[in-house]
Amino acid sequence: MFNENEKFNLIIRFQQLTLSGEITWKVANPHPAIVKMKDEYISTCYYCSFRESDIYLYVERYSYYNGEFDNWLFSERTVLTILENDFISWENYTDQGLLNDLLRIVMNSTANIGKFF
Amino acid sequence: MPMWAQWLGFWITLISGIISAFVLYQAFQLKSIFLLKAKLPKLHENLRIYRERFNMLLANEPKNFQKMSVIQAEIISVLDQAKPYLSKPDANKIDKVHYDLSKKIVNEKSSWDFYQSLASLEKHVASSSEDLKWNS
Repeated sequence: MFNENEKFNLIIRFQQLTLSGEITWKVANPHPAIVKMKDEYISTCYYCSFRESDIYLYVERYSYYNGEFDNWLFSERTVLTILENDFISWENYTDQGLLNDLLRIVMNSTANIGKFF
Repeated sequence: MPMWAQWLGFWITLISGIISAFVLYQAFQLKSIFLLKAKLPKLHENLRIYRERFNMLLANEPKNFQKMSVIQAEIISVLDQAKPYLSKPDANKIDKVHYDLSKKIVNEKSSWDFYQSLASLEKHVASSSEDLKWNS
């Protein structure tokens, strides 16, 4: 069972591995296990493989019901998912601060904006 | 003045005193809640901004410990200013992480440890802020 610190450590570990170049992310289509049975729209998705696990980092737009005003609202969140044998073995969307930092690091590592100069 | 009138006066004074004390207590509680409602989201926003800035330093200037220490000092100052207005559990949480956040940043390990403590505190403050929104 993951505790709070381990969840934090895992996201921070991925940040460190990305910054040190030990893992390389690439833009990818979301795995069917991620999109299946979901209404959410995935706007950005990154993939990398690490120690025989498939890791996906993606941004999804989702709708939720707002009971106070009796309407549906849209929001966006970053999700980190680990897949083992094409099944989701772990995912995290609760630590948005750390996940957004990871997303920014991954975007900067894959964007290759140097080609525009 | 008859005895019964004196007693009546005594009881009226006593009861109105108790009611005034109760009203004052409630007003103080309300003031605390309003202060908390104003302070907690602000503290959360500050911590979020500092966490992002610190993470950018970790990514772009991982060995600039001097710059990191400046952010560290700013964060501790923000926490010290906010603490008197916070509820007891939140103030306790700050006391608990204060030691970790005050450790000198001298190498990459200590900088990442600081980042982790900051993220943990930010999450706690965000959750308290959300609870306060729904419970008051």
